[in-house]
Amino acid sequence: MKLLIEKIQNLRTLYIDQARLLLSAEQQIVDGLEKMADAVTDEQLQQAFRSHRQESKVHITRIERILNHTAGDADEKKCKAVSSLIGEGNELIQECDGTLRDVALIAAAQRIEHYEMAAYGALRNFAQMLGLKGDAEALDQTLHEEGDADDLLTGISDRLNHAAMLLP
Amino acid sequence: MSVDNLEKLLIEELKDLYSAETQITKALPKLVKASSSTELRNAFEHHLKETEGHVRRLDQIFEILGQSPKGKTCDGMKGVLSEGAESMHEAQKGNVRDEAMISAAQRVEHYEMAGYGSVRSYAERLGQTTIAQLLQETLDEEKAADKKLTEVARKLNTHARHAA
Repeated sequence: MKLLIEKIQNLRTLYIDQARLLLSAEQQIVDGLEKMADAVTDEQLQQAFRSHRQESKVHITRIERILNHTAGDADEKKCKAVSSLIGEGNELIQECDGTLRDVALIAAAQRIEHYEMAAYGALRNFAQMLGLKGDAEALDQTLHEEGDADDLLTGISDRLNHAAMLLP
Repeated sequence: MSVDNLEKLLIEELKDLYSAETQITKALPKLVKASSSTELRNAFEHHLKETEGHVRRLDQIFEILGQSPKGKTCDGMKGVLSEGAESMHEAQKGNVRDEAMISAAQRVEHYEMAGYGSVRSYAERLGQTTIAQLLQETLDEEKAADKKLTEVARKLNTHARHAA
């Protein structure tokens, strides 16, 4: 029988736990985006992946700051969800080529963006509930940047989907 | 390299979503059981019924395409769900577990929103209007479910504050 360990006993520990997961998620995304940028052919898409990679580094700094003052350290907790989402992206790199690979990787990247949007949305709400105003503001800023990155990808996919349809 | 046109990519991604939805129909009853708040339990129960409808819609789409929905496991959803299950077990039953489950469920919703958004636009591009419409209906329901969860989370917190 699996032993049930209820380590998370209040909203504050839940907040810290989820911040640690997001730190790990962002670290994996920084590596993942580099691989994805190298794998695509469209210049605008490549640029979008690269600039979001830089943004993700800033997101890491924000979470580290939050963890340092709420938990006293900035240790991460392995985010398995993002590992599997990045794994899905890697699979698509193997399965597709050219414009279709670009289109497929946009879809993969948008699943990652959405994961982050949900995670940052929850974390920001927890910060608000806990009265951590500064944290909530920083997390809200990241949340908006993730949303913008997602919108940019939608714009690029509109153009690339059209090109992909014209493939023989 | 096996996916070499947009229609094949559409089918691949639809199979991925079919697997994701099937996994979700198995996970939601556990969330229903573990909920302390009646409102949250109702929201999960309602979304379980909706999810069963999403599976039926996908069945209908595969019929239109003359393809089988089976043969793929969505590893992305597997990862998102197993992380959610872990967080649910680690959180103490009651308000905190409810909040943990809401945030896990919203990650699931967002995965689906991204997934359905992509296939909807592929279907549109391919001139598959009926399919695009069916996918849009599911997409709208996923978005509404996500909003509902945000509302429940806020209410839970207000109740917790009054109780404190």
